[in-house]
Amino acid sequence: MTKTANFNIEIKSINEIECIYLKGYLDAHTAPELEKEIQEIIDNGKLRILVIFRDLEYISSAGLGVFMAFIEEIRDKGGDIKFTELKPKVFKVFDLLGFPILFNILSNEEEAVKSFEAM
Amino acid sequence: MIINKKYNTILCKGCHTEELAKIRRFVIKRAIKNGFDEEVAEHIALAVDEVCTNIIKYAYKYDLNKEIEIETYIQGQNFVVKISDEGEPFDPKNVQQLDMQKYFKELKKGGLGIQIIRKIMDEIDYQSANNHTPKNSLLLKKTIPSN
Repeated sequence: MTKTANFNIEIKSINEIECIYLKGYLDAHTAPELEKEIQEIIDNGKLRILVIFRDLEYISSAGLGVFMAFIEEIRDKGGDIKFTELKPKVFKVFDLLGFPILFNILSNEEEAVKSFEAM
Repeated sequence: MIINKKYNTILCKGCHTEELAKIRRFVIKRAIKNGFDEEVAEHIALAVDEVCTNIIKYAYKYDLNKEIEIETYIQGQNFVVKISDEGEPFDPKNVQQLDMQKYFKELKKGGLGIQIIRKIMDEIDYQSANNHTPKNSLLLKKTIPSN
């Protein structure tokens, strides 16, 4: 778990899916922490990543850029990064840039975990 | 960081990404006070965050000897956020609008902040430093809702 004053990351493994729980504010200051955690997951050979945005209040392009940086490598290796439980205001930022075209966004954690089983 | 409530300005000396949260809170307060709802106020703060992030990372390259000044005011029907910096001039209006379908297809990275600024704000003006003004200024404008 890493933590700064207004951002927190927790990671749990569920059915061999790395579930990343984000909390607080994801901006240019906090994005490097997320980048480090995802890099570590990939370095450990884990390629199924689910990001749970339930408690995330804010995202800027620096946060979106982290996912863009890894998606190609992960998919090339047969994995994926999926998103779930975005607050409407966070979803709106994804939607502004058309991210729902590229990323699979699921309505809840359970459904998202199941969607990996089909992979 | 010096917040001057009387003149609605922030002077961020040695500005680092750590200060972004404070800058956003300042902009949200000013936008709500000028008639925007919370959602739009948060969007305007996101646009300002994107501008400041670009200045800190790319214009200043994290140089803590530089400063960013942010001022909010009303001009006609617009709420204006003026962001001034002392880096190399960079006019975001000259950046081409991205075709996001193509962008995703090619899995490009970066350049997303400027797209966000464009989508959120109604108008953007830029003035690079010259003999009369020593700083570059970017003006982000949003029409105030009429009710």
